[in-house]
Amino acid sequence: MNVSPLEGFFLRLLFAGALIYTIRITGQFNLPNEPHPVGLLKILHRLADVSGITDHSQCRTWLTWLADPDKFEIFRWCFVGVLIFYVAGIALPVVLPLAALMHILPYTLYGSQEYNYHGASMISLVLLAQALTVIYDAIFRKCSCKPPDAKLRGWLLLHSMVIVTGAYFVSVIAKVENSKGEWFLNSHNVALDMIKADRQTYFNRNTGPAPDIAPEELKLVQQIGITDVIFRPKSYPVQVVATWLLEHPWTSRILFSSGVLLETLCILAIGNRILACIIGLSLIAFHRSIDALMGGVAFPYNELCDIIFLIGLPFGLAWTLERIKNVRIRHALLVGAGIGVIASYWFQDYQGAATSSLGNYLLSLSNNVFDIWNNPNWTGLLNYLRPAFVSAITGALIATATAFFWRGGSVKTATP
Amino acid sequence: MTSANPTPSLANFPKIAWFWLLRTPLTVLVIYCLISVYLEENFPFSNFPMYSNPGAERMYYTISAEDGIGLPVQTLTDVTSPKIGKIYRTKVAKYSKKIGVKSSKFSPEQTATVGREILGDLREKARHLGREDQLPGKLQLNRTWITFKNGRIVETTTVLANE
Repeated sequence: MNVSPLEGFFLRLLFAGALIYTIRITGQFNLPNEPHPVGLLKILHRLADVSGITDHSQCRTWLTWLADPDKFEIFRWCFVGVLIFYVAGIALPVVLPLAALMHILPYTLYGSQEYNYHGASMISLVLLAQALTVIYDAIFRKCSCKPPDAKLRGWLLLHSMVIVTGAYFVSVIAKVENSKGEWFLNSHNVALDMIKADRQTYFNRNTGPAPDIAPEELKLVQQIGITDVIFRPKSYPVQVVATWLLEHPWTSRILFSSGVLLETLCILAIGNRILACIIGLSLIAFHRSIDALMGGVAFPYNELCDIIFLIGLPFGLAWTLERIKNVRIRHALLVGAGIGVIASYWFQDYQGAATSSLGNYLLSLSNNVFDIWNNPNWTGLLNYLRPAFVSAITGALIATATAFFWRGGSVKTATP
Repeated sequence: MTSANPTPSLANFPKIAWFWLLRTPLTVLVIYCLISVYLEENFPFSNFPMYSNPGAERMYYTISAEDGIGLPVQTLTDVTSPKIGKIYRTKVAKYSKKIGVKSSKFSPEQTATVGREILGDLREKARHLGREDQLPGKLQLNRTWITFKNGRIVETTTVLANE
């Protein structure tokens, strides 16, 4: 794939932002032990058993320090430091494997608590695939600490696409395997999962009957068969839709199977920008419809991968900026916007911004940019981000104007 | 990786196939799929099994006091309601291996043993968060089956374990 240096930069910048976003809360988990080690922890526990260092009865732990907020804060800043090198494209054969390991560790601890977790699997796997790609490139082609060349940039994007689409394809294999080939025939029962998800969401934080349910709604709820487990207005539409789907099994099968068809066909996106964009948008719609049907089963990290690697937001940004043929003006615009974002720290009047350090402020900005995608209070986030946007635009305009009117040095024009 | 493209001919077929295998992203895709299916749930790998076996009966788990009314488990323990089911299945698999009895053949007492372990763990989580006093004196683990019978969604709750 042909990936320009600017697109490569935006790919790394946006992916780094997404990576920081995914570990924003992992230090707050209440994880005092590792009762069911998975992945790397499984290997570490087994090695410890074999070498006689410890046994499970002594409850030796390896990664629980990551659940200590103070230690995690240091770990997070180290991760940010590594990602700065990643965004700059410097020393990728060292930086990418380190970043992959650092991203995998906290979620390995999280997934070792007797419940499986795969919400961040795709994003970790993309990072791992990128790390393996640069290692392969360093061994078989050339080992360099300089920013990636055209071939490596193309490989990095291609293999990221393979992992993103492959993750969906693997879920199709799991469906065929676990249902013994009868997924399509049984797929109407997914409607029962809607009820299950609704109940589980309810029992997470609420309890007791809703006092404000209208008598006519209660009558309708009872008519369609709800038992006396939960009476609450929010359950009513879920109950109605699920009942209708179960009463119309063939319609349900076609509806639910369309998602599986998309998961199967998404591998066609590999290496084709137009198909990737179409499939990426379809996958976002697919995730959002599941979220709506299941009442809160969101996969925001998968959606971010879809946006970055399939829909091609970095490509769009790079393509737009590459319309500016004068490289000096283009660079000035980017640098000016960057300085503007940093300068917004002194213009931010949001409560709490004044007391946080510049580093924490920038991290908070980055996380809030990514949070807009999946936060119901996205308008509030926009208010928080407004000074940064205004400041970035102002910085970009000033820097562009300066570059335009500054005649010193030679003017370099990008080759088409 | 820098070798030239072999000339297409029948004699060169193995070379062409090898050349293609080394370069197509489909090779990476196949390797990735095989590893994921083999390793299943080992972070970062996963076979993404959500909704992979849609049976006619679904179930969810709740914790409650003796009155059976579900408690807000995430608020009290930081463990979400879906995770209780996952923890239950993991513990059942471990206990089944330990005692050499298939989980489907568990007696009510064996099921209760696993259930009580979960209740103990949840109490420990609540204690760690300083919320133990918000839990009732005696906890109960319930399982509710959801089915569709005669045009109605039916939920049937059974008690798995109590303290």
